[in-house]
Amino acid sequence: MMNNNYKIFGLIVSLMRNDNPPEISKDFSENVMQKILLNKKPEDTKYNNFLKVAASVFFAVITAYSLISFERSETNVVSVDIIEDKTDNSELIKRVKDDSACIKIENSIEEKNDSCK
Amino acid sequence: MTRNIIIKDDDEIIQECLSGNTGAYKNLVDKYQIRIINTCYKYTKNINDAEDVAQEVFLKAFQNLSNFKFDSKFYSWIYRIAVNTCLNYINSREKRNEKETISEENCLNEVNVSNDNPGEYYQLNELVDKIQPLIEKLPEDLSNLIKLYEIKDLTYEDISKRLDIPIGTVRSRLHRARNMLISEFRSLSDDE
Repeated sequence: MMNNNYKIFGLIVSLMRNDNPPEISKDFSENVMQKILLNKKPEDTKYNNFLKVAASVFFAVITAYSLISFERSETNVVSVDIIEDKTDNSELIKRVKDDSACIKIENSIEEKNDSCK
Repeated sequence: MTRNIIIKDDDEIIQECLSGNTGAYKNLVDKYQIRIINTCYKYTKNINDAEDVAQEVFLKAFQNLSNFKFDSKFYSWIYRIAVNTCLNYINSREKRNEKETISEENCLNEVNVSNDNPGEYYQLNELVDKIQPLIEKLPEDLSNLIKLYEIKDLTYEDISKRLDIPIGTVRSRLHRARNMLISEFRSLSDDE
């Protein structure tokens, strides 16, 4: 006979409800548990945990190093660009200012000449 | 004399499974195997197929246990999985049969009882007559409680409202009723 309390109680309830097949195999639940354990991922061992920690530390170091080196190279490029831009801009401004002043002066001279005529 | 037998609530067992104790799931399989196999048997009409599909049902339920909402009974949830799995099984079997020609093997599949060694099976129909006297032996309040919870599928809250007793009392009386039933069943099988 069945020796498990849950099996017995399940049997009693199913028979009370007339909810039972004519027969069931004795090792059904053992087969189910075997199938579940086969489908389950292998359990973590200490070695696996150590490997996971080591791998995460390795990737953290690699990421940090690449971020730092990328940041350095980016800073250099930016600093050079800014300097060049500044010089270019200031020269352009000077030229524009100078040009406008010349044009105004030229215009006023022309106007004076016209009025004399 | 009844021994103190511990039968945990389904919710408690599910919590154990979710916290990593896979072995606890066997208690749920043990408890519901007959009813789930019978549900599958109604669809497959063959006990071997029913057991195969029921195995798949329990496996699916285990894999999706984290999706179980604790606001319904475990049996209602796994019953729905069983019905869906049976329908899928029937659909795939019909597709398979369309491709195959009718053979002797197909005809044998219609036989309802297993062809395997009968020693490997529990013959349940023989036990039906022995169960009713066990329930009648229980005190009236306990047998009513067992019927409300296990046959009419009421929740603790529903029973508490209906009988106007606290939920804690419902739980403790159900626990006592289960203990008595299991002990009586054990003494019955010891006598034989």
